[in-house]
Amino acid sequence: MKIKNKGLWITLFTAPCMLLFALVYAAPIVTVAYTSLCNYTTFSSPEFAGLKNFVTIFGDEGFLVSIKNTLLWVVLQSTFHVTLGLAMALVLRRKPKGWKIVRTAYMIPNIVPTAATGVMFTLLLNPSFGVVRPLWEKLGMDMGQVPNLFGNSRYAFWTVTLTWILYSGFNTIIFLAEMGAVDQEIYEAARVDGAKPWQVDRYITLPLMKNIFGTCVTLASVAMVSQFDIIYMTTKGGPGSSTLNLPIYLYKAATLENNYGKANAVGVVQIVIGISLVLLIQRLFMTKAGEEDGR
Amino acid sequence: MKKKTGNRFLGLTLSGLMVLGLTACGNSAGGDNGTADQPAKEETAAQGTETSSDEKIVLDVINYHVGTDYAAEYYAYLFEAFQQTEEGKNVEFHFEEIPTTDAFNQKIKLLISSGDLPDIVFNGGNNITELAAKSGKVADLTPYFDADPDWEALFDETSLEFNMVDGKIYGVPVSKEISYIYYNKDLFAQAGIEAPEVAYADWNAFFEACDKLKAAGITPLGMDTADSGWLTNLWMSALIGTNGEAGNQWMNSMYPTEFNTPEVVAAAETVQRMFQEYTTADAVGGKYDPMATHFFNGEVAMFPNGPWMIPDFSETEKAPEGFYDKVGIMLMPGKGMEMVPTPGDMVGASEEEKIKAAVDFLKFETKPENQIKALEMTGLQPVSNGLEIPETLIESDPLMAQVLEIQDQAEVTYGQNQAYWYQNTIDTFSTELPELAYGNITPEEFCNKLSESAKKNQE
Repeated sequence: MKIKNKGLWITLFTAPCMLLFALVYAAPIVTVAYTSLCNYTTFSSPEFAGLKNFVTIFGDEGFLVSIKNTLLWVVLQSTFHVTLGLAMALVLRRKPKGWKIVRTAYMIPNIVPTAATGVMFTLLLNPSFGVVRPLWEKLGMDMGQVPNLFGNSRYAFWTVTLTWILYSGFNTIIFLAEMGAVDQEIYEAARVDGAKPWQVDRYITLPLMKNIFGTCVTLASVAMVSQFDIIYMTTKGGPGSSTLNLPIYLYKAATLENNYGKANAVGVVQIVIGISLVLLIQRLFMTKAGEEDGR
Repeated sequence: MKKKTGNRFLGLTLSGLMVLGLTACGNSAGGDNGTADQPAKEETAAQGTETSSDEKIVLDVINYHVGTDYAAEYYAYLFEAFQQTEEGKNVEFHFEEIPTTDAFNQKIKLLISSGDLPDIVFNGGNNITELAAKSGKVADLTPYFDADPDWEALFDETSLEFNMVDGKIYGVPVSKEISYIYYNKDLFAQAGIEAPEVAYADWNAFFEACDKLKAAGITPLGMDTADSGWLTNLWMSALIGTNGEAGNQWMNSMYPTEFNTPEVVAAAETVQRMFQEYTTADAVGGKYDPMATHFFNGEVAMFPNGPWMIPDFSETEKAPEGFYDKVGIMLMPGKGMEMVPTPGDMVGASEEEKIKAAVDFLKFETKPENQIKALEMTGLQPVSNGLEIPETLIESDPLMAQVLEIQDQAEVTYGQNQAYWYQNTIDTFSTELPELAYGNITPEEFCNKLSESAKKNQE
């Protein structure tokens, strides 16, 4: 069905969101952008200083490490994490025995407060009384060398990553919803043509998931650009700068150095990275999908 | 083409909205984290405090001495007792409770920048006095001290100077902070070591004792790195502060920016060795509480801390029954002791009437009898010199009495990083300690990182 004045309708339907955004976010964002160009601390009002804050942060090794870590987490989250959610959905779609229990259980880590998850992992992986010690002992390893997973920069990044990367329940739910919307006649036709289950997944389900995969990747990436709480709860960006990311760097600039201008410069970089990621992901997924639709 | 461009523009705008919305949410969550992690109990109906209809003066207070805090009971008494006095009978308090000093400090900093400070501003350290004074959001208390010489006479010059910014007094010190070493008498006996009466003569003698403890299968020292690395900070401050005149002078300086001095590097070297040889496996990355539990459980022999820890020794929820009797006290090697005036409580009220009421409360808080009460109930050392310590304390709390006695024998006193260093440098200390402990960086590199961090405050 062809809709007349499609553009007008889109504008009308998005107008409330745009208006709300302008009222709630626009002013703070303009302030952030402006004060990122100022000398602005707890002691002083904003005073224009050009690009000084940007020069400072890009000259700081810690900031560059925080960008590297943030981007690495974005890549891990938008590939492994989302794919894991998709894989779970593909399995659950077939409704094997106990699938409802598994679906619910897999969602639980996503609804546990992050602060609790942080505390739980800190205790669980404590080298003195956590699960690592008995496991180490069972493996017959040197008990003087029990790995300190959060405390040693050799393991900290991957340990922090493991506190969230396996829990892809939200993505699973999104994929399951999308899979439920696929016309069952397509699957029936495939079965009649003798397609095997893996062929149905490979040639029907997966291609139809492209758009929603793009959405999940977008959400996962943006979440990683602003990931804060679990890192703060477990390592606070340390040891050294091994788990330092942009939000932690920003937080420290604002609360420990009391340098709001610098913190807002980090905020601007964070926003630019976020927008760039969204555009890149759109280009990778949405455009291709559009092209395939013949649009 | 035009339509396509329009769609692209719309798509771009929507993408922008999405990411900005999400990142802004993320930032907001992050920004709030320091307080949102802690279940702040709002008891006050509104931030703006007005005198109520029956002409009561309502003072806003954010209190972190709540819940299981060592001084919760004392402060509950203090607020109630003040309202029984002539000065306090028309005063009402509206409390907001924020457990833990860390969360409290974050909240106060936010309030300093927003200008919404409570009328009485407790001081959780971390350079809050300077931040608050320079922001102009707290009252200059100098005229109140000038007008009441008896009150002023309760404080020595060092304590008041510590609370001055640009020659004006902004904080009322309520206690002195000291720290030394607690040791487990049973573990010492088990290792066949006789503890010194006051202190080990030097660090060599101290580490000889550590070696003996280790040889007897006992972990000698309690250390940590997380949060601010409090315990390790006390060891390191002692190592620097007892290392000759230069070290002592350095450890008594405010806001140092140069850490690559021979004394600090030597201390970092020793701390590295302490992590590698003399402490528990979870010290690196560990917080204070689990480390204290190690001491309570008899898993480490020596633990640096102050007198506020003494009530915990007989608290059966924290320590095994009878633990109090197993604990001995000694000064740091070379008869060293950390001693700093505490950053004092401030007045955030702006109306004259409220400022006066808040000052009256601070005067009440620092009355000699309340200083003694604080000592008895919390272990906080009186800020005033020469107060008469009740005889009953020797019977009821012999360890506390020993603290009062042993501190007079300290030959060297020095500060510690939480009182004297920039806050971001304390954070760098905490995040770089694990790197030092695992030998991922050298002591010199560790000190360089501290210097770099401190210098950021002067950018």
